[in-house]
Amino acid sequence: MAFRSEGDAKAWERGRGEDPGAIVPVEVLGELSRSWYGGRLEDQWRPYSAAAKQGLLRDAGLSGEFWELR
Amino acid sequence: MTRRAVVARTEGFAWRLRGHLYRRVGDSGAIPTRAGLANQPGTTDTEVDDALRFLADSHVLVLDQQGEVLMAHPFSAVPTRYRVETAARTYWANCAWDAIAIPILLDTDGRTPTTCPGSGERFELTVTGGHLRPAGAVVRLAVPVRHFWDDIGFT
Repeated sequence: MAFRSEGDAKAWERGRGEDPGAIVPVEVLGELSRSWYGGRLEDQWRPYSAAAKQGLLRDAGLSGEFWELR
Repeated sequence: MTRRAVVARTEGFAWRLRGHLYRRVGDSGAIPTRAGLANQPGTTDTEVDDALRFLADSHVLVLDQQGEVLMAHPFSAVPTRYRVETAARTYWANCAWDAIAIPILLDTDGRTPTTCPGSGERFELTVTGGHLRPAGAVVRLAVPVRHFWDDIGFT
């Protein structure tokens, strides 16, 4: 879900008693989208391996247990 | 034809169908139906169904119970809370991340009106010239990435 600010997202989590999720700035997801979804209009596109996807996440600055694929 | 050759032929067709499907969505805003995908010279319903099943098993597409394409990430076949508007047409995104991804994938500007669940404030996620706005906006993901495909409709 999209929130106007990190504070809004954290307050929403607390208010609902939700487990903490990953709160990601939209700019970071924009950067990740460029690599994650790049080339999907082409016939030659194939799924990334888990290792390659992990690298895309890492390159976008997304690391830690939440972002571990294995 | 050997079984291996049949599999290779099916997979080759499936990958070409996937590219065709994505371009159709980009051009129309809608995920085509199985019948729409089979409506090409030399293509049979069975070939399309086998290809879609292969792509779903490969976690490339998500099918509904009737075998129609429900999700071709970042696109959704059904209305969601994230409706992406571009200059040319509109698209349904599966989630907030996908609402950001659609204009980027299509290399166009886009805007997604939404409401902040925390504050109730209306705002728009925008992609303009590749830049994301509004500054300070965030997306909350509830499910760790290794569990995305446990329930792909809830991430």
